[in-house]
Amino acid sequence: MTTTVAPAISTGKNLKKGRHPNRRSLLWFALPALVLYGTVLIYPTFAGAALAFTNSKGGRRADFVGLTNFRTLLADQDAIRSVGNTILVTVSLVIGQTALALMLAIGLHQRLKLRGALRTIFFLPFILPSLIVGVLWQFLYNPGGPIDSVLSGLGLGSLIQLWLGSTSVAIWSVIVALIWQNTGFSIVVYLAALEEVPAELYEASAIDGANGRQNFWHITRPMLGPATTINITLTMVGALKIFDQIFVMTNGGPGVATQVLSLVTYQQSFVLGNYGYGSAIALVLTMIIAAAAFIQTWARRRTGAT
Amino acid sequence: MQSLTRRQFGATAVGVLATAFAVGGCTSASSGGGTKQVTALITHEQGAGFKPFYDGFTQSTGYEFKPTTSEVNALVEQLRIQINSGTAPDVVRAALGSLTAGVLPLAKEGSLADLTDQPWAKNIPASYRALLEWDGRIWAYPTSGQAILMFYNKAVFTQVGVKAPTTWSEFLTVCQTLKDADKIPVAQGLGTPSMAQFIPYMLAASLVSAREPDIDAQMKAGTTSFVKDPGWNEVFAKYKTLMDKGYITPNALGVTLDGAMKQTASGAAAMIPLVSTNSPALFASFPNKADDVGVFALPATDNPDETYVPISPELLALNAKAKNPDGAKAWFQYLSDPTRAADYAKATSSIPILTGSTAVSTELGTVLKPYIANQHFTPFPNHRWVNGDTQQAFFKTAPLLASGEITIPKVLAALDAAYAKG
Repeated sequence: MTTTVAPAISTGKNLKKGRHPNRRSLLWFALPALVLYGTVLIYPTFAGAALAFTNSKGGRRADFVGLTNFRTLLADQDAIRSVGNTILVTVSLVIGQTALALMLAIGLHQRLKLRGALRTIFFLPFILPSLIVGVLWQFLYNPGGPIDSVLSGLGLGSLIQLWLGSTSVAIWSVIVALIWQNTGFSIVVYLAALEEVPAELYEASAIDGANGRQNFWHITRPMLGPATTINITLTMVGALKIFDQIFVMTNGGPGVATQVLSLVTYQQSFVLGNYGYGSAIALVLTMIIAAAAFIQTWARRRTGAT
Repeated sequence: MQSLTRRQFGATAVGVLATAFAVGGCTSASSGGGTKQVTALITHEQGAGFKPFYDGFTQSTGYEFKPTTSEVNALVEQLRIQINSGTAPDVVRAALGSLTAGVLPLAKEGSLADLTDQPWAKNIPASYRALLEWDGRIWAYPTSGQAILMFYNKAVFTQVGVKAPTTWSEFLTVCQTLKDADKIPVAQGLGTPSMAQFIPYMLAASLVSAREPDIDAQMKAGTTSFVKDPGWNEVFAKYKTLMDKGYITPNALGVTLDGAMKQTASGAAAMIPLVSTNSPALFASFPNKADDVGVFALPATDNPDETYVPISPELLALNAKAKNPDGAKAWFQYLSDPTRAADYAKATSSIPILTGSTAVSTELGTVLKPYIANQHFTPFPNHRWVNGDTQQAFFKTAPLLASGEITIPKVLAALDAAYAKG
């Protein structure tokens, strides 16, 4: 073993270039995985993207139509509305979920008696299948359902709404359900980061006479920078491609009040059979997600956080 | 060391591939089942209806019917993928209309086999041939007909003292009587947008299709439209009347189809419009099942003789690349026996559709009998529209009539815009 490895170290040339001496052998071992990855991910991705430039209806024939599908998208009022809804859901989730998770994580980081149980309770919705979450909230939002009953019981009957049946309220009802489901994950990310904040920093600040607010602003907040980046990025990407819960709760309705881009992609492709147009919408959605993730990462780097 | 590793790797790779081929070969050999198996992709409901025939089919023909069942929407997606990838089974459940897995689009692209020469093909009613026919040939076997009808809670009708109406005026009177008795006259769960179709489609059978049999040709030619057509305007005006008079479920946009069924079963609501094949789900909530539920065709005018019923066929088609086309044709022939067609219809809350079929002794069969005898039935309107976009536009706009967020002219204009996509 030693004799096999030693010459490779002694050459120095390969190491400079960062090459492993048995690079070809390693490539053979990686080959099955590369073939599998290329077959099930790379090829379908590019084939799907190529479909966006065709008039495919799902059959064997598909003619190249250039940018026609993208022009159709720009003139499609329902799709434009769904872009607005997608952005609204994304911004609301990024702000609402991240802020709520931060507050809850700081609370759960304290030495509470029920800390373990509370952490489990808050994380539980995240491990529920999205379809179950959709059905659960559809039940909660039923007219005369549990939420209405609680509001009536508290004497707040005037606040009762047609939660999923009103074009102005439905999107917010969906957002609340999504925040409920996903906040647990953001909490876990923040809790992991809070564990890493050195206690000495708080001890030093206490000696300097800093109060809780100053501790948060000058110690906790900067130290949670990377966790915030992770949370915002993952929430943003997840929100941009949200589908299951909305599909179950409202299927985009009433009207197009809760229709998001992923739902339009599904309807165009699998309900109406407009695979070319559906792929064009999916491609636009992918580019929006990539751009959002890139801008977010770039902004964090520019401000000095990792 | 390096050469040894390569050799070992090569030997391992050959071994793995040989094993894979061997396993694949075994699997293929064991699952193929020769040409005696007839494979199929059908809905859960069709599967339940066909189940009693499996043994008899095998005894009678020597073939074995082996279906895979699926929820109807998922089936449409699966079928498209299986057709494209060449893995579709012998028999497939094809949809009506212009959807991607619709019988005519599939036939036009060469994915289905011609069934014109089959003995049952001559028994397809004339009014349905256009739905299954392209290039002068028949492309599907109609297993049964599903009707859109008004189902009602018999106990509520008895309690309030009303009877099934035969005219539009009578229907409004029944609704008012029920409302006065603190009952919801008609359950509507518009949180499931597809439910918004049922009442308009029932009205359209009498007010549009019956009066203007060539309406589809006119619309395709552009000589009329939803906005211009007096029939469609009357359909939506009457639907809106029910909403405005408080005859449908309050806050219907927040209630799902399932919720509307529960309202009817609990007696909070008296009537519910449904596709007959969905009615078993309603019956299941009643103590005596179907015996507790009545049914009638919704009248659209004050002349009972002008009432038409929307009835569309359920279809099975033969995959053009079927491994066992003879077995598949034998299955269609076996199903077309009048007694079996009636048994299947009874099990699936539908009616036999081929001419010369045995009548079904259910309440549904009894109610529909005079309409069928008088040829007073017509396909669902959406099955003749040029695209699926029109129906989607219907789902997005019609339910909003209930909340007053859209007007009838805007609904009709949205339907025209969708129809114009071709």
